[in-house]
Amino acid sequence: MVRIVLTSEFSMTQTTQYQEINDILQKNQHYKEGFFTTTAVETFAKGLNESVVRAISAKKHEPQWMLDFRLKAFKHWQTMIEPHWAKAEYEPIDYQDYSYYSAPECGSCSESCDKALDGKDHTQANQIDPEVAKAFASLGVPINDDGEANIAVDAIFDSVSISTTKRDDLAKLGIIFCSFSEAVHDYPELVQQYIGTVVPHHDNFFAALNSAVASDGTFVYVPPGVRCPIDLSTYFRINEAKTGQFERTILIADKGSYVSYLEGCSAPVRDTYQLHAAVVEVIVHEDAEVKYSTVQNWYPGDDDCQGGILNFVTKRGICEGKNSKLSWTQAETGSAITWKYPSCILKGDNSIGEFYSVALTNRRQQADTGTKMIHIGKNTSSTIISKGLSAGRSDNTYRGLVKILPSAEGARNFTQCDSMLIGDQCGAHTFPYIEVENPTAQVEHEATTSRIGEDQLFYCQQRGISEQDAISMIVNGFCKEVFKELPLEFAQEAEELLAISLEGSVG
Amino acid sequence: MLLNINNLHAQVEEKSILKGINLQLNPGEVHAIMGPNGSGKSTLSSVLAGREEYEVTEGSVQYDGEDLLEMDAEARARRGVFLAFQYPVEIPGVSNKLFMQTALNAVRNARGQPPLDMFDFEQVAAEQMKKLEMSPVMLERSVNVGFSGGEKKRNDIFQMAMLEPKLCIMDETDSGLDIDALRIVAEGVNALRSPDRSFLIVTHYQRLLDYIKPDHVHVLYDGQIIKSGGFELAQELEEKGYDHLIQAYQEA
Amino acid sequence: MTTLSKPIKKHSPVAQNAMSFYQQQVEALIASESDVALVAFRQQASQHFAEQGFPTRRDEDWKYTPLNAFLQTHYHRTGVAHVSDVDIKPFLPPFDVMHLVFVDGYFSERFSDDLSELPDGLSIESVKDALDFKQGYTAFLSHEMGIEKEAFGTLNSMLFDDGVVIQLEPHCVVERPILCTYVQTQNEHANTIRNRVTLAHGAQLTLLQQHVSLNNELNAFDNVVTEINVAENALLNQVVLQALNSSSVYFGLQFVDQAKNSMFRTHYIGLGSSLSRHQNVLRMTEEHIESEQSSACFANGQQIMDTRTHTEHQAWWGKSRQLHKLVLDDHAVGVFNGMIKVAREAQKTDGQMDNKNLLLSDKAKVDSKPQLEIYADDVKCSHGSASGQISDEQIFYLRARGINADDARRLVTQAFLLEPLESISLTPVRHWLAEKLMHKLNA
Repeated sequence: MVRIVLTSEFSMTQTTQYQEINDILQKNQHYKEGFFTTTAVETFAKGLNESVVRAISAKKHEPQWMLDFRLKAFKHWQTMIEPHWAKAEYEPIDYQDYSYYSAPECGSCSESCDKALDGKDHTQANQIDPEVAKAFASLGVPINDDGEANIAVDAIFDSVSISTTKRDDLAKLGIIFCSFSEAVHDYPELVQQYIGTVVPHHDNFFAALNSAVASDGTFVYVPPGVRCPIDLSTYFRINEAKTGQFERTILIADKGSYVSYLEGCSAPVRDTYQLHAAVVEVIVHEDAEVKYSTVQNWYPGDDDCQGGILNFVTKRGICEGKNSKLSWTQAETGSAITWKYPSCILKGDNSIGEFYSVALTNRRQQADTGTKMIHIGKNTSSTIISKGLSAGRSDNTYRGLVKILPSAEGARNFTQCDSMLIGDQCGAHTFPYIEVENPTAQVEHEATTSRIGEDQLFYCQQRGISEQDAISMIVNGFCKEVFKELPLEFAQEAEELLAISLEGSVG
Repeated sequence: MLLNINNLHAQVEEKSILKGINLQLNPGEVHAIMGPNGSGKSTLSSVLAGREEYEVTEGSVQYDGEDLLEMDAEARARRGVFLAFQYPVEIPGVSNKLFMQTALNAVRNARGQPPLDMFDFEQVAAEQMKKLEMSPVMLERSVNVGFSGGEKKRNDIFQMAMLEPKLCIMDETDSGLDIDALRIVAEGVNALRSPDRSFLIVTHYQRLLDYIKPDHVHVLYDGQIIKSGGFELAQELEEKGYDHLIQAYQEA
Repeated sequence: MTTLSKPIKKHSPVAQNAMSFYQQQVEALIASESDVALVAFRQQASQHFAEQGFPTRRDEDWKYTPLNAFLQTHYHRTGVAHVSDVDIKPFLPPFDVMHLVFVDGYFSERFSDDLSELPDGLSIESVKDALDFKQGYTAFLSHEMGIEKEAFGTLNSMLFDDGVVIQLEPHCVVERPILCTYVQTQNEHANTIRNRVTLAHGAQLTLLQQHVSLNNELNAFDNVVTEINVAENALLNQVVLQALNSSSVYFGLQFVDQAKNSMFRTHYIGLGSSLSRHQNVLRMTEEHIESEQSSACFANGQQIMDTRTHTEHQAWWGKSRQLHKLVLDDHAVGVFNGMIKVAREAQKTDGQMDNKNLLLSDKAKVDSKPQLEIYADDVKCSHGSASGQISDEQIFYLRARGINADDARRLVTQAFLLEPLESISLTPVRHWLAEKLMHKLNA
């Protein structure tokens, strides 16, 4: 595996990603030899202890404060117990059986490689792994600055960010969009100001683990009054087996700014569980708005979901200032186990939190997902729309908390949880927690469970539509309210994913 | 002959409902099936359209030279059998546009015609909607969700117009309709009457027939056709009710 | 590194004291007990309780039910105090019932109706009698309903004093409602009550149970377990009125087993106690079972009221309906926790659960947790929860019709709270309960 940093010389004129890949392949011909030697991966021996945490930090040339943060988290993690309250069954994880650092072997390469690793020098590391490029291309991820795409991409392959596009355009607006590792070096004040403020290192078991061994991730800062003209996006791909991925993403929208951020995930076929424990912190200041969209399609494992991704993620945002707004939209179709509750702390008066989710489980997948809406400020409002689809022998759980604190005068929440069961071997569950401590608050929760009606199927078939098409049409209709919140291409991708994921579940 | 029903017996959940139906329809003809509640009218429509809960135990149905009972519901639809539902089904989140485009292209594909893209489809749909005095907004709304009774029926007629079927089965389409909605249905049917399209109108009441004027009227009772005649039979039923017919049948 | 075995539960010193206090109580009870089987039963419960202990707020099901205050008072078993007819009279309802009275947890023959003249097919005994005569003894103690899973169920098995055993023979239809009145008369006294109600096939009964305090000063602890069996085609209408004074503590657990085509309807009205928790566990194991669970609770002052239901659909064509309402004033805390569980075998289940809460004060608080756990695909299940205050729009509407603001508020609150009672078919019973609720609301 190789760290790839695309420089502008590769990417000025290409019109399609495939052409671009070919070009990259040609350019890299003479690196072929070196390429193969450098695919050797430097991976720490399996296991986790304090010296591993120190070594990770050292490898990344991190400043002392970052190391301190890691060590503090690690010490706390050691006192914690793996949570098993989610409605998911899995063998307890042997944390000593994972490797916590995996990066290019640097034995043969020079200083430049290290420099590249710390994110300071991009020009020296022009190697690209064609397989990596191909992988991203086939995933439809534009990893080059081709000037055409209306999107900026940070592509992360296993533990490292391989390219971040459109940075210069964004820089002109004062927007910082870079990998987390780079941000630690280049914007230490900002990182220090915000890291751990929304998700403290002791928040939960997996957040503590992430804080100790964080690999890479994305850092976004949008300055006051700036409306980010393009979508920012991170694409995560796990490739290496038995390596945990622990990315850390921080997104800050300063006063009056706006940004739409997208995140896509995938992983190849492996026969052992891969661990993914990410932490995302979002800070939304006064009058700012953040739209955070995720299409998660991690490898779900084989037919019995053996070897799929264990996806234990802590995502949380704070609407810090007045009139701020944070909107989470997610389409979750992958992973063997998903444990994820993107949350909003509505601190600023009149702030708004939204959570739109489609979670589909098939085979033996287990998803336990939902949100937390913590109302603190006056007239804060939140909306939760959750659509759960269960097929095969899977279990799909919505778990959510709506908490209205005494200070949240005039708070409003509306929650709608709909579940659809496809087949009679799966489960659909709804576990909402509603805590109201202010009488002026209005909290409404509704949940339904249904299946595709025989009469609906017959109606479609009577109009000439095949059963499979009818099912996919009805399922997409069921998810419509959520998909309409996703950016267009993402919505299409989500619909296609749904169709693929449902394959073989009915018929 | 378009449809030839021969000694058709059918049951649902082990309960025998149709007990030997014989009926022939020629292209362009409009037949009405009338009968009291529980006579098997809706079962007949369901069996012809291919609902799987109904089990045919005896008899045959030839449609356009083929064995209709061998086909599944979508195959029948693609060959031109259209069922107007007594209660059109709601499909939340699926727009009428997507639904009809998918259906129309499936039917066109079966006829060997190329599919219509979004623009062509919209044009064709707009024309039909104009004819039916439907608001174009209806195309954007979810299939039958939040539609009034009249809107649902109009939507069914619109689908019929789009799919250009050969055999239209109207399954008590008139139940629960006010006079305006009834007229919509009747006008729609009349507009779509043609020498190569047949109608089988299943109804309890004669009032829809006043507008449509069928060529033939059949009275269904206890799973059998007990009397057939022209439009005057419907008028006779309106005046005298079903009882005297049933009585005469039982005495015979 | 991380350990994966279950952490050993840590009990606070207060909880430990309470646990050893109740263990001493059971030891004393066992010492005076001669029946070998009963001794074994209590010992087993006692051992189980030693492991189980009192729940803490870290237990998922006790997150919202604080036990601190309860654990600080040790409730004794001291026997029956003297009461007179005058004391009992006020608790009689204004309609005809078969009345059974329990004083401080023990059946009182003196205050109860004559049990020797019961209609055919109906048998009523106190648990003490049932145990003395060894009738249905094994049946009484053997249970498969998971009582021991609940700490207060285990505590009940350890310490129960008395209760009622009601049995209806096949097709026995009892028109006259049975009313059990449980009066607590002594301070810091535990009334541990164990009831069993069995309806054979085709039987029908209306059972009313009320929990009351003799005066407003005492602080006593009612711990009730009621086991109910409703056989094929049988119908049981049940009402539990919890009208203790505002210092006492109430824990009620009901385990209900239903057979084919049976109907079970239960209404809980919560008015009293500083801390109360009423819980139904329903198992609908055969086809075509119907159940209704409703509750109306009004809490004010510092009261904590917890209502919970656990409904398991285990067979085809089950239907369950629930409506739970909480009105909270002052510093009161209300909790609703409901679970509808639909097993894979329970196709065509129709389950509906609604929880509505009204907050009248800015210091009141409500926690609601309506849950669905569903494994069958052809089901219709829904739940809803709404919390808020009276809508200004409604108040304005009434005022526009000439009603003053206070009356308007009261009217709306009343209407809100009385809705769950609407499904009580016996009009006098419904009126009686409505009056109790309104009395507290308007006080």
